[in-house]
Amino acid sequence: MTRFLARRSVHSAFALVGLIVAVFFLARLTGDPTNLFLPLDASLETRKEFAHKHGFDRPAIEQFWSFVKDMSHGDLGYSLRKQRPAMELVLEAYPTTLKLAGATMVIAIALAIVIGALAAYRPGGVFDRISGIASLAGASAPDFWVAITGILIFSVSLRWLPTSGVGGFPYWIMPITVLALRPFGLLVQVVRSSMLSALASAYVKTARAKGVSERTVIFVHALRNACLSIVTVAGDLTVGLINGAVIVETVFGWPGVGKLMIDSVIQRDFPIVQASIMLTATAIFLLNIAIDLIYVALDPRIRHQ
Amino acid sequence: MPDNAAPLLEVADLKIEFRSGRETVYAVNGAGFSVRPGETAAILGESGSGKSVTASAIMRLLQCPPAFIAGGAIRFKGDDVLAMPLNQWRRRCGREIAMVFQDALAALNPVFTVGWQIAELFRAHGERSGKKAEARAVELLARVGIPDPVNRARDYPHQFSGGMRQRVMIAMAIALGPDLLIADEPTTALDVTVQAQIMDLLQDLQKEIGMAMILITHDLGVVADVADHVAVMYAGRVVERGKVRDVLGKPAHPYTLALLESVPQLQQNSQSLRPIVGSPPDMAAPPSGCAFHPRCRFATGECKVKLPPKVAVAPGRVAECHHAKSVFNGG
Amino acid sequence: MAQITAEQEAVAIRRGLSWWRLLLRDPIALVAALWLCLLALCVLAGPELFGKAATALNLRARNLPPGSIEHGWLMILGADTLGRSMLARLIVASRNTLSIALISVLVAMMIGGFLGLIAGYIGRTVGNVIMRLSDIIQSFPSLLLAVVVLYMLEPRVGNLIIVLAITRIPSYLRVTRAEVLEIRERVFVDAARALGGSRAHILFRHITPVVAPTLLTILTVDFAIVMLAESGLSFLGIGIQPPEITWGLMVAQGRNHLSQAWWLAFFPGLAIMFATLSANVLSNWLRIATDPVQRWRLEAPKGGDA
Repeated sequence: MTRFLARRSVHSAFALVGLIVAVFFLARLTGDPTNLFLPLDASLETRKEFAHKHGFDRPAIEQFWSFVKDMSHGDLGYSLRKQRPAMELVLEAYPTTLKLAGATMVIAIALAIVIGALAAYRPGGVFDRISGIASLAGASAPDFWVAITGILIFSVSLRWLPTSGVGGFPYWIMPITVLALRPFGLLVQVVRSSMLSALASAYVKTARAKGVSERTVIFVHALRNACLSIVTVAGDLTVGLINGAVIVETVFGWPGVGKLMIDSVIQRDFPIVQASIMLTATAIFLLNIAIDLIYVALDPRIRHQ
Repeated sequence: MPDNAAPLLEVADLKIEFRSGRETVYAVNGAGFSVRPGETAAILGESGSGKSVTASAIMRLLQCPPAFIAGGAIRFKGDDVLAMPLNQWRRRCGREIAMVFQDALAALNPVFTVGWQIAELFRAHGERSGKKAEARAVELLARVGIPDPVNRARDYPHQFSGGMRQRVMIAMAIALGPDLLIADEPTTALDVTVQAQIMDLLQDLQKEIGMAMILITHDLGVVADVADHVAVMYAGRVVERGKVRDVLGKPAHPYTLALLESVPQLQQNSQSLRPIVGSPPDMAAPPSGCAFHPRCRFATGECKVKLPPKVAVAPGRVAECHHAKSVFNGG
Repeated sequence: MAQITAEQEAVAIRRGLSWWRLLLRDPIALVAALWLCLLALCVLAGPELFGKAATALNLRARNLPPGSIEHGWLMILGADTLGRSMLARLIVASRNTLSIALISVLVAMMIGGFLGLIAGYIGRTVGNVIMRLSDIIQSFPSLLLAVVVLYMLEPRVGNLIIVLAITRIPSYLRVTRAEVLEIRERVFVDAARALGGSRAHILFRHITPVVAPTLLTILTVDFAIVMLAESGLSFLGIGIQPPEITWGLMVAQGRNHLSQAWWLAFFPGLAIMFATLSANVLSNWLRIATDPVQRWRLEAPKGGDA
């Protein structure tokens, strides 16, 4: 078990470090890094001065060391536009995103398990076909389009829900629904297929031969095994959820990391973009370790390796 | 056991098909046999002869589709099993009829402890106290000969050896003292030395509980050692049945005869059974007439076109062969 | 040799026929396939046929709502703020939208498949390095990766394709490597090696044909994923830049007129949805059709429940 966890953590850490290195060098390789930090119409003098002040005229390796040193102090650069440390701004935005993502994942997983399990119980049946098409549609729908169509119907026409912003329960409904569509659609399919193989397994036959009720067979014997692949996929989908969060936050005006990042890209505020990436990569690193821990807890075969 | 006691289980003219759009596999084509209380019946056959499918059908474990029960009846204690509502039948599974599967590693749930899986049997059949169920599980582990049962109950299936896992399976099957135990190739996946131990255990438990047993196997030796009655299956049909002593001593079906003839090879230190000439039939397109005719040295023109009748060659002896009488009389 | 090839050809033809028959049996998959064929036609000939109609201003038809053919059948889906036909614009935009996605996916498949072959076949060290590099890509949200790279580079079509392709490489790499590792151990590769086949020969003659169906299945899924990603990027304003148009960009532009002319954003989004849905349906079908264990589900007669 320790070996499994150690190997997985090293892999995750490797990915984290690799990404940091990649972002740093990519930023330097694209030519003049001042382009990334300064507005496109900045004068040549300003550029030179800026480059010198931030050491862009020094060798790349030297820059990288000071970059790593700063980062280890939690210094991820300073937003010129907002006149504040980038890290502070990103950390402020993070809880909003985490709340949105957390609520979305909980709802998506819970719904997907129930629907996927029921679909797998009678493969080819009416429920299976309907849920199959619905989940595919969920996974295929462009989230930004669903978001603005939702606004059009529920906010503009019916005036039931607010168009955007943060607030009480009504403000959460549309962002969560839109954000949950994709992970929900994909998870239903994963739950269904892993339940199908679990239900066809010999241990399910044993359970039935023991006279265990069908509900226990599905929701205890089969589901508990199906959980192993569900957890793996749910972990990947949580990472993918950041993609959706960028769009949903932008459309619904949620002050999270996704919106912050897109705004910064449009305003060409590189320190914030960079800090968002670093912190997101770190969050994903932690998430991966958490997933591995859950996996170990769920699968005794790994635990006793 | 008296031969005239009412049968505990009766399978009559059972037909099972596996349908996919392109082809239908006729896995079982009219199998029939019966088991009386307390006796051991063996179903003997090659892989693909339909013996395991028949066992699954009795327990109603077939996945339909692709499996379809195309005809016949299964009666357990006089009740029509196939006509019974499924959940009503499930409640009797484990309590009155139980099954031991071939591959215990696959048949035990990998993510639950062995103790939990045995205790589940008691919980499913009315034991409300989890503690009591667990305690009874430990008792059972001891009863099937697993050392240190208190600690072993907390282990997972993958932590057991093959023989010990099969003991766990058996513990689960006998937990509620069923009237009938179906053992589907219970020793095939095990080492030869362990095989004998498991068979001994099964026989001891059978005597203790007084249950009947259906032993599904391809091993003539096991049949000769353990069973009272035998049904020989070929191509989804029971081609011969009768008392083990009689059938193995004086077969009435060419297939049984061929099986017996291929056994002495083993004692001549040949590593494997010499297969019977030809190969088992393709059950998607079974041979016409008697399914065994392409491999049968007694075959005549009649065998190719006409399904053989059930021929009673002696009291309690039935064989499905046009030439049963001449085979029986040493033809 | 010639005989074997002829035999293989016969098998291939028979297989092709039975695939077509399988597709006919599944009406949903058939509709999806036909829809994708129609889109392919739009991509190939759309801009040439409807280019004029898509740019022709018609001031009388400004913000014309959909459902009327007073101004010609091209106006069936309404017109935009300048009176240009929505339908024509959608058809013209299909070329950018679909070809960007298709090219990205093909590039990803070729690079990923090739790296996967190498990672699985050449050796542990090389394999591990390749796998760890793919971990880096895979462990980060693809859209974010694309946003960052497009920010640092320029949002040109070429860059967009490169970025989208990079984000999709890992899935092909993984599948190919896994299959190669498995096939490698199988007898027929040993046999080929014993017969003195070169490494390249074994790779392309024996392994590629086995991996190809799986890769094709992923390709169809990825086509949908990449299309959504490109649309998302264009919607956010960091993908395709005007005056080029894609469906994602049309949604973004229509968003500003949501309350006056909902159809401006609605139809391009619906087009994206139908295209991705078709690709997903088809890939699901392909996955089952290429899996011998599951194939019976497609072959089973309808209404055969018992």
